[in-house]
Parts: sequence; structure tokens; C-alpha cells
Amino acid sequence: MNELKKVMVIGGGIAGLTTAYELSLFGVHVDLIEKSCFLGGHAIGYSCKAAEECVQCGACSVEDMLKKVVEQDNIDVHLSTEITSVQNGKTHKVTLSKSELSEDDKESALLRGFSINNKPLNVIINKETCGSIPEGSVDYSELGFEGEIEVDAVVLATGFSAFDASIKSQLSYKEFDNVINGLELEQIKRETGKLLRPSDGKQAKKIAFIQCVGSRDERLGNLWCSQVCCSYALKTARSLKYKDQELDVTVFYMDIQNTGRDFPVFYEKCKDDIKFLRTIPADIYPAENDDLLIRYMVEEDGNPANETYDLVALSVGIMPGDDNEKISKLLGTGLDSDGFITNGGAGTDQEGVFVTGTATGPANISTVIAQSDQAACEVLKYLGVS
Amino acid sequence: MTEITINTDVLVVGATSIGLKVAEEVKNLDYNVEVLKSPQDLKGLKGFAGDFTATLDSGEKKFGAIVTATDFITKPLFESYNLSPNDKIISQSDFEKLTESDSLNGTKSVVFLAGFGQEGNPLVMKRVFKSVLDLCELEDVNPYVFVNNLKVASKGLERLYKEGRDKGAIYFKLLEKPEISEDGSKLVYMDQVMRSEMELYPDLVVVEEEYVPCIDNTNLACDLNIKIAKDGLLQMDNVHRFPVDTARKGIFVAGTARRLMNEDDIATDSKVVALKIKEFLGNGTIEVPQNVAVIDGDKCAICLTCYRCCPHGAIYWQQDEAVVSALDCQACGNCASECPQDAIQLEDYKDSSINSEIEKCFADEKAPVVAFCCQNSAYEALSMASEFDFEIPESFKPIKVPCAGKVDADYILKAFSKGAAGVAVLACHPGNCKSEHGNTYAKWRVEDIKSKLEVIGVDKERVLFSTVASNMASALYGTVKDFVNKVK
Repeated sequence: MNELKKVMVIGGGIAGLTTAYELSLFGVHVDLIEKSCFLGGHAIGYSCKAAEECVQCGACSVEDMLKKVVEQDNIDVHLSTEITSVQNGKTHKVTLSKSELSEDDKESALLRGFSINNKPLNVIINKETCGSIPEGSVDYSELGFEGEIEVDAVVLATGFSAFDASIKSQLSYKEFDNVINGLELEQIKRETGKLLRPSDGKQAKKIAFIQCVGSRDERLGNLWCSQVCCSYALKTARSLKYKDQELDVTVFYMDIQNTGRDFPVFYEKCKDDIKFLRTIPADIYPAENDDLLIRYMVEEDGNPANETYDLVALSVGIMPGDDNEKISKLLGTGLDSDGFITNGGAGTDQEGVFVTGTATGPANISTVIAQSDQAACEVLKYLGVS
Repeated sequence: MTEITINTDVLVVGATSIGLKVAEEVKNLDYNVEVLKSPQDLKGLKGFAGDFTATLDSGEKKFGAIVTATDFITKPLFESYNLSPNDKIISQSDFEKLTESDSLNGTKSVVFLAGFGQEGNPLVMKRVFKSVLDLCELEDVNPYVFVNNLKVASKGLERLYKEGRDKGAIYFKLLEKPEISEDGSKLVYMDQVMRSEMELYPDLVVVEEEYVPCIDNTNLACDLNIKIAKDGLLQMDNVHRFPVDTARKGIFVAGTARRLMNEDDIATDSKVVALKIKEFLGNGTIEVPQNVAVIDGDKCAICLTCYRCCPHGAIYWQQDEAVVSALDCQACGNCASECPQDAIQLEDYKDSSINSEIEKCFADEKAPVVAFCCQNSAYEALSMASEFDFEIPESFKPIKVPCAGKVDADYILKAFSKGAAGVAVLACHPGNCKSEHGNTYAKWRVEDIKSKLEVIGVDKERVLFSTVASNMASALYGTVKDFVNKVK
């Protein structure tokens, strides 16, 4: 019989959920720490991208994993909680405290998770402005854990931050309502099943995706490909087109990256449905009816061209998590030259501290699941759990 | 719960990079491992998870789990460029050999071709980037790369690309391949900056290679009774089996047997397989699940329908009846619905209990819309829809099924005979069925019933087959609303 081992998993996205679940299957007690009010991370907000068939985007598997985690008895979930100090040694003593809400969330009355498997699904921020309160809601004041937890190992699964497109001012993000980023598009699609314009709620008929926003950008010093955005844009475009044959989709790109197995076959289908332009637009201007005019250079002849769209989606890149620096300092792990947490096969520079998922660099859902299984395997080995 | 003892020896098929790594990881877990050099060394496989019998050159041997670990082979794409190899036209592999043996003396300009003979991938790209950097180490050599899409979706590749350019390599990103003379001495291409046709006279032309899945995968899939995908890889792409599971318990697909990957990903996969093997074999005792399919021997006519349709390879026959291996059964119920003798019942979803669920739909509604919802997709999406304030019509009565493939034609007919306004079968999207083809069976049955309904004068539009994802409440709501409006 093994003595009870305890592991802290920091981050409740798909990486943290998978690691926590796998560890729990081997009788390890897991404290799962999540900074926000809900589990699921970025990926729980993604929509299904099936067209005539499933394209293995993995969005639904996040839902699946979340359900498994909340059903496990030996996983304690601490929402709205972050780490404030760590004492590394034979064990790790981690001090936790209630995390701050983001500025946007502070203004809200009620926050709602993306998944019914989130418990709670609704978090009340402001009772006065809330109006009707859904059954089973929890008050924000009840969330958060304060105190110290001692564990045998720590797994970092803190994820990524999406590139802030307003840094590239020529793309007019946040300036015009109908220039949105990929995550926002996912949310609209997931909530309504349709592609509705933020400015007027009308169904978009002519849309443009702009790739490599923030990624592969020498000027910004972002010398990496985010690996998921071509997959995201192409699969989303096809699934939208499948529902609405009239939809006109253009993808502005530098290089199209493979989106999965059997990519050449998928790419051929995309070429039937999508107009591909190998150029990154120079500017976006407002046009009539909240439309947007994109100015770009035609690769074939080098001449400038203009085209009007009613919605523009920016494929924003995967950037190092905003907390990476703080976390790496607290835990004594290294950061690579790009700002991601250094890993050597799930291990870090610090003994007993492991890392998985997009905290280490760009990856898609299936890769993150594999990395997290690997992390669980390494942790079990380290703890000597048999 | 009954506990049984299983065999804990592991058979790894393929002494490849991934095969050897898996073997090492599994050995560390204190299981016995045997590695077969090639898939051809496996002459046959019988039995079930925890109790496989493999036929090897040395005779029959028992194993608890099997890992397929085949590799890709590389093939130069001379033909795609209308070239034949000679002194000046060589493959990427041959070029790498030349660099290793320092045999590039006197070569002044080298042209690399990538992405015109095939779509390409980061593995091919990385080899070009590395070769370019090797050349940059030599004096007075000019590397030129002609490439279509730069495949940089892998850690560190963008940096390698930049490093090469900084050191003087010239990249031409073209949509069409350059024209190359038969002897490789002259290239004509459209220069994107100059906007005119340019010529180049290289000393050496290096042609890209494609990665072809192991040719033995087909036979191996057949021996192991697992699916082989159209791309020649040993696992159907299916989100429910990320990353290394197959539809059969105890059989895993590792690394390059399941997709093209680099050495880091291969190392990751070896750990993943080790974890999954540990999860499955444990200490050699295992609880036998109770909620499985059970075959009534008296009714069974050994027609083998169940054996053929079971997506999990869980059915075998002995003497004069078919038997379900409880360890392998995943309780999808496809066999129960396909069995022409009605000889199979699924413990948690017996015909009797589903029939009473159908009855219940009529308790407060004379003409309800009865909907059979797969628990892996539609049923989840439905609970989400009600939780997220989508108003599901009251006349819509969902019945949870383990897989759309468990929806008998009889259930649909029963609902109509009781007076249902409509019947819906709501399944997973094609390619997303946990049990491989349960959704396809369901679709066929609905189509079949539609034609029968027409004969007896019921509008066939009163039956709906539709697919939905578990996380798309909005999509499910739209489907439900439209259908209820149509039939009510």
C-alpha cells in the first residue's frame, strides 16, 4: 500500500484537468488551483468545428474531461485562488490566497461558466445589479482559498495569454466593433451557433481571417508559430461555410500550416470553400454599414488592392502566460528566451516541479492532452507510486 | 464486483525509435516486455485485453497488452519535380550524408526544393533549415531554398528559419515550383521582388522527401482487429481516443504508428503509453465490469452479426454460441440493436427499460416528440441547453441512450404506434462516435424506417436523424426547435 501522496496542479484548463484526472486515478490526492471563477481555461469556450464530419478539434473533449474531474473524489478544486509563496524542499509548502477579479469582471453583476460541469456555473459578483439570480449560484465572496497546503509535487499548467491585437494598431482591433479576435469569434459561435456581428447582431455574409497576428513577428520579437491558428481558422471557416453556403470567406496568410492528419486532403476541400490570399493586410479602414475595408498588396503583381468585408477575425497568437514570470520566480523554474516555462520532458529546473501544456509553448488540444499524460507519468515516477 | 487476474506482459510491435522507448518505460514499471523487430514477426493474434495470445516465430505466447510502434519510411520526390537523380540532383537524405562526411568541397551554390512535390510538414522543413545552417558554416557557399508553404508549426523552427536567413541563405517563397533543366544545372523561377523571370545555375539540387507510413500497418491492423485510417496510420482520428487508445482495450498505438512526429513528441508518446498501460494492467487484478452486453445463448443463431459489428472487438464464439468478453465490452449496445434474433441485452439499457421510457413520454403529452439522445453528445448538449436558458419545448421528450447505435428500429416504430408526433435520433457527428460507427448504423436505420413509414402512410419527415456536438447547446436547440415546429 502506498502512503497517500499529494500533488498540487496549478491551472484548471485542459492541461491541468487532464493531469489532475490522471493522477487521481492512481490514488494521488490533487489540489487543483484555478485563478478564475471557473474550470476549463480558454478551451472550454471553443466551439465545435465539424462540417460534414468531425475535424478532431478536441473542443468537446475539454467538456468531457471537466466532467470526469468534478466527479473524482480525490481532487479538491480551489477556484479564484492563486499562489503567493512557495517553499521548495523535500515537500513543497504553497501559500494560497484569493485572487483578484479582472477589471472587466469587477464591473459585471453575474459571471457564468461555459460548461454545465462547472460547479458553480454562476458566480454573483454584485447582488444589487444582478436582477434575477439563477438557481445554484454562488456568491463570489464564498470562493477563494486562503492558507498553506503542503504537497509532494507541483504541476504547472498555467496556460497561455492570447496576443493583444490592439498592439498592432493598423488592424484597428477594439477601434471597430466588427474587428474581433479568434477567441471572441469562438464565443459568438458557441453561444449562438451562428456568426453574428457585434455591431448590429446581423449574420455576417463576407468575412476575412487574418493569420499570424502576434505570432511569427520579427518586429515584436515573437519568433514562433502559434501552431493552432491555421487549424482554427480553416476549420472554423469550413464549419461556417457548411451551414451557410452563401458565406464568403477569405484567409490572409503567410504560410498555411498543417491542421492535422491527412492535411493535404483537408486543404483541398478548403481551397474549394475559401479564398486564400498570401499577404498580410496593411490597414483596415471603416466602411459603410459598419463594414471594414481591408487594404493589401496582391502577391502576384505587387499592386495594392481593396476589399470590403462585414466581419474581420484576427487569428491572435499564443503568447506566454501573463503570470509566467511571477510563477517561474515563485517556483524556481526557468523561462526560455520566448518567455515560456522551460521544460525537459515535463520536468523543470526545480526538483518536484513539473510543467505541461501551453505554459511551455504553443500546442493544440490533443498535444496538450498527451503532454499532460506525460506529466502525470513523470510525477508518478517521481513519487514512486506504483 | 468480480475480480480476475490478467496477464501483465507487454508486447511491443516494432523495434523503432518509439518502440524501444516504450519498451524502456514499460520495463521501468516492472512489467515484462517483448519487442518484435518488425510487424512481420507477428504471425497472428487471438484473445482479449489482459489475455492475448500472439503467434511468434518462437511459438505462441501470452500478453496482457499490445503496443503498435511502427515507423514511417522516407521516399525522395524526384518524380514530382520531373527529375531523376544524378551527381547534381540528390535527395535530402543523400545531402545529409554528404554533409556528415564533409564531401561538399567545391560546391558553391545549393538549391533546396520543398513543398512543391507534396504539401510538406515541419519534419521536412526542419531538415532543410538544418542543412542550410550546415552549409552556412562552410566558406563561400550560397544556399537557396525554393519553398511553397513554410511549415514552421513546431517548436524552434521559426528561429532556425531566421538564423539561416541571417547567415545569408536566400528563401524564395513561390506558389508554383521553379522550372528545372533535366540535368539540374539551370533553374528558372518567378522572382517575387523583382517581378520578373530569373535564372539560377546551381552546383547541386536537393530534392525533398515524403514520409510514408509503414507498409505493414495494413496487415497489422487486420491481425489486431483495429481500424486503419485512409492515410495508412493505425488509429482512426477520434477525439475520444486522444492520444494513444484504440477502439480495443489493451491495444495502444504509439508515436509514429499514429501520426508523423518529431523526437520530442515520440518521447512524450512513450510516457503516455506507459501511463495508459499502468492504468490498464495495474497490479494484474482487474474488476470485471457489470454493465456489459449479454447474449442469450438460447436465442443466438451464431449468425456472427454481433461479431462483425462490434467496434471494440469484444465478441467471440465458442461451441454453439457467441460470447461477450466483459473486459473488452464498452457497453455501446450496437450489437444488441443489430442482432436479428434480439438475443442481446445491454445491462443498463434493456429493451424493457427503454420501452418503458418510451411509455413515459406519453404521460403528460398525447403526441410528444420522442428523441433518442446519445449520452456522449446530444444528451450532454441538451442538459447544457436547459441550463443555459434555451427554451426546449415541453413536448420534446428526450431518452438517453449509450450510443445512437443502440436505437432499435423497434423503438422508433413503438413511439409512432403510441401516437408520437415525431421521432428524432440525435447522434454524434461522423468521425466523432466513441464506438466508431454507431452513428452510421443509426442513420441507416432511420433511412430504412423512413421508407417503411411511407408505405404505411406516415409522413417520413416525422423522423429525424441529426448530429450534434456535446458542447453545442445552441446548435442542438436550433435542431430541436425546427423539428418540433415542423411536426407539431
